[in-house]
Order: sequence, then C-alpha cells, then structure tokens
Amino acid sequence: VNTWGYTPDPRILLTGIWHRWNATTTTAGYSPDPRILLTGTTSATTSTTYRWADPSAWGVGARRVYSMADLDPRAERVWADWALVRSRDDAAIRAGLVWDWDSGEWLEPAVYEARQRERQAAADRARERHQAAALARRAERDAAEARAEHLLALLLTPEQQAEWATHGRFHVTAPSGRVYQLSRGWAGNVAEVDPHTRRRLTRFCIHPRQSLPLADNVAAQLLLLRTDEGRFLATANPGA
Amino acid sequence: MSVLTVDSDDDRAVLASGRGLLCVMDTTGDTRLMWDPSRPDEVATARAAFDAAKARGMVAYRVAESGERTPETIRDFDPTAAKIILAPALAGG
Repeated sequence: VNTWGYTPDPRILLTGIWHRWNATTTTAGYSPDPRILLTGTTSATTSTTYRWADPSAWGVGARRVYSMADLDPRAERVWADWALVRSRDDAAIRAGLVWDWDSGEWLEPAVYEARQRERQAAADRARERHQAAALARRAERDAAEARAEHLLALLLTPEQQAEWATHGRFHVTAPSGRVYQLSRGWAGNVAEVDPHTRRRLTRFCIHPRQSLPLADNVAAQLLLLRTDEGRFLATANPGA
Repeated sequence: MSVLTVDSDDDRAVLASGRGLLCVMDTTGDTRLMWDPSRPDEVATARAAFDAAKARGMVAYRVAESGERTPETIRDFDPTAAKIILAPALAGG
C-alpha cells in the first residue's frame, strides 16, 4: 500500500488511483460512492471540477454526469471518513507502523513480524494435521482393501486367484453355463463373454449402494452371480 | 464368554479349528466373528450379528472353504456352517 493506495475502507485494497486532492489524474473508475464512478476527465485542482457518472450508464448513450454537489450526501460522509482514515494512516506510516490486514490494525514492526510467524506456524501445524489425517485415511483404505482381497480370495478357485492376481480379473461359469468376466472395479466391471473366445458380449453395471472396498464389490457380484444368476441379470443394467 | 473377534487373516486356521466364521462386509473390508458350535453363548452372539446384518438388507451366503463349491443363500443363521458371508444387496448401476 502506497500513498496512492488508500481507500475509505482499509478492508478494501485499491488497485488503481483514488486521490481526491491530487486532481491531476485521468484514471477513471473510482469514487467515494461505489454506485458512482469517477470519469477522470478533469485535471483541475478542486473537487468541484471532478466529473462523476452513474455506472449503470457507463459507456452507453448519454452519460449522466454529476458534480460533487450532485453526489449523494452519503458519498460526502464517505469522503470525510476517508480523509480521517487517511490522516490517521499517514500518521501511522510516519510512525513506522505496519498495517496488519488480518487483524485490521496498525502494529509495531516487531509485533507484526511475531504475529506473522505465529500465523505461519499455525498454518504449518494445520497442514501437518491435514497430511497426517490423509495418511491415516489412506492406511485405513489400504487395510480395508487388503481384508476384502483376502475375503475374495477365499471365494475363488486357485486358477481364478492366479488370474485375479495377474490380470485383475477372473472368469466364472454361472449355473446356466454362461461365462462371466469380473474385473477389478465398481461399476460396469462384469461382462458376459464368449465361452470359447472370451470375447466380451455384454457388459453389466451392478454394485452395492453403500461404499465398500473394490474387492468386496467383486465378491458380492460373484456371490450373486453364482447363487442367483437370474436375479443378477434382472438387477444389472446391461451395456455395450 | 463373548464371540471372539477375528482380526487375523488366517481364516483357514479358524475354519480348521471347527469354529464357524461370520464375515459381514463393510467399509473396513469386513467385520469377522467366529463361534464354536458347541457354545450356546457364542452361537447366540453370532446369530445376533447375523440377524442385525439381515435387518440392514444384507444377503447371507453359506460358503465353502474354497471357491470350488457353489455358495448358497440362506435366510436364517446356520450354526453348523463353516463360513457365512453377509454382502450388501446389489442394485443396477
């Protein structure tokens, strides 16, 4: 923030020039009242030569142009407040104080630096807690997946286990004689395949409504397929 | 005497011991209980876990020790079963 950067409200960061008393600017866009924009077409040294325009009419047709006398009285109050703030802020700067945006107050540099260090340390601690929590969640997911893999393995023949371990899928022959391929996945991971060529014929989308490890999902699909193929087919959505 | 919670992955050792094993699928993979068919208290606890899972809409399967034999759906708790798996009902995606 420099001397050109003050705004009536210190919570608002001014990115352009807003200076009432240095009337040499031609930069438009700011005014004491946010409803009214400074056209910035003047180079006079008194406020009466400023020109203001209603932003709703900005750049379209006949622009309504205001003088200071036309301004909303509220704008005058804002100007007055702003002058007060600027006067106070100038004094603070001369005193070597630093504006703290977080607390909204002027601080001694040492105090400001200490607060910044505290905030940084707090942010670091929060980040570390977040990372630790994420790691813990990942470990829980990995453990759950390992248990589910173990449960699924108990439902598979040695050949299916080998296929699953190698390719992430296995084939099962249903009571009807149809052959299905179950792949690691949640939805659309079951397909009927040609018994001889193993070419995919129809893919099915069927899964639990609740969240489970992927291997549990496959185990549930396998159990239903082997015990009630008709229900499986009636429930699943077939796809391409 | 309560039913033991099985944390070990060595289910086959459990099955070989003559105890029954109940696996209820959940977000942790599954929650496992084992029971001794000759211990009424253990059977009662396993039955209660079975009934609670069924009440949540889960489907019960009696399964063999390996994937060679076809699993069967069961409606009621079978204390003589070697292994029972409770899986959530499936829905079309």
